[in-house]
Amino acid sequence: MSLNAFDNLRSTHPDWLDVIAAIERLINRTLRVDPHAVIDDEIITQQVRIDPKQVMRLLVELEGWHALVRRLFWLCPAGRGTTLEASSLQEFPAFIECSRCGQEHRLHAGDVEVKFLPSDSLLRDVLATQDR
Amino acid sequence: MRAPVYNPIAEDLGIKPLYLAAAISVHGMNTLGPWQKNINTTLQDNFIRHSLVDYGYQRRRAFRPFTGGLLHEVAPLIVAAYVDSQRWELPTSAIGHSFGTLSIGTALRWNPDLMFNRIITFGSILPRDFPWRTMFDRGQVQRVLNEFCQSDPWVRRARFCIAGAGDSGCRGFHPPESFIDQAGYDWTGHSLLGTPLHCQQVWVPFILAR
Repeated sequence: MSLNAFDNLRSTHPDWLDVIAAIERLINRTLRVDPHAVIDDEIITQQVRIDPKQVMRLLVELEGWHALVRRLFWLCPAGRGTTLEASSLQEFPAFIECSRCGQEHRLHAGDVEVKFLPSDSLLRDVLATQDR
Repeated sequence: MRAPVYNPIAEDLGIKPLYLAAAISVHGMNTLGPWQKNINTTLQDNFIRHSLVDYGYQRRRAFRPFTGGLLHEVAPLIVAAYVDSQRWELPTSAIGHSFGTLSIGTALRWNPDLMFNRIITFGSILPRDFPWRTMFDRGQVQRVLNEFCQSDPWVRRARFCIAGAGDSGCRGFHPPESFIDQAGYDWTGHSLLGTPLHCQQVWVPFILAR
């Protein structure tokens, strides 16, 4: 059974059907195991052999179809992981004392990673396909 | 994906990109405005969406009696860049250098709906008595930063050969206003302030200040 938002993708990209199906399977499987899972383009690219640019484009399109909601992760520039996460840029301070490395960091676009969470409608779709 | 990768994809799809503000930069005459390119990365790194207004390399057309004709070309470009940034409902600022300051001032005069959050001028050839108070009262600008240099040779000459020009880039705006910040420098000449370092230290905090 297909998820509604992915049907929209299929109608927009009739030449990407295989790619869309692979991403749909992976997201569906992931959310059935953990409905709160973070959808990350890098993890998808590692698990499914697809052009990373296609994956990024499709995930942002899914956001546009309200299937995904973006979540921002401020990464420690010293490589120690996420220092702060938020749903909007305005929630980030201009400077932060990093909980990971103890140093002060200035907000920099290159340190902000965009990932996604499933929207309520996508989760409903996933649960519905599980029931069937 | 990192924010700089996400933003162009989001914009292309009509999804609000991740920015805190927008800035429009306008270069001067006799140049293609390399400073605009120099500060581009700094602005983007600070989540400021940057639009570069480029009206080509102009020399003779900035002078009397052609000044008005060139302003009629540049002002609509500024308005178009402003309208484009308004798609994302971002507080929008303008950065002008030399003839770019006259263009921004003219665009403000001709378009009462053009509203900038912040305006930064350096090497300004706007008249010292430019009606900032009127612009402020109309809500067309909230704060101005004018950076000038007393020994700027181009600003000194501008008022004699460019219609409507003045020497605020040498002596600052007058009368002083609470919403106008003025900073004088001794050795920055006409164009030396357009650097990534100065942009990071002075312009970015000014644009993002709430």
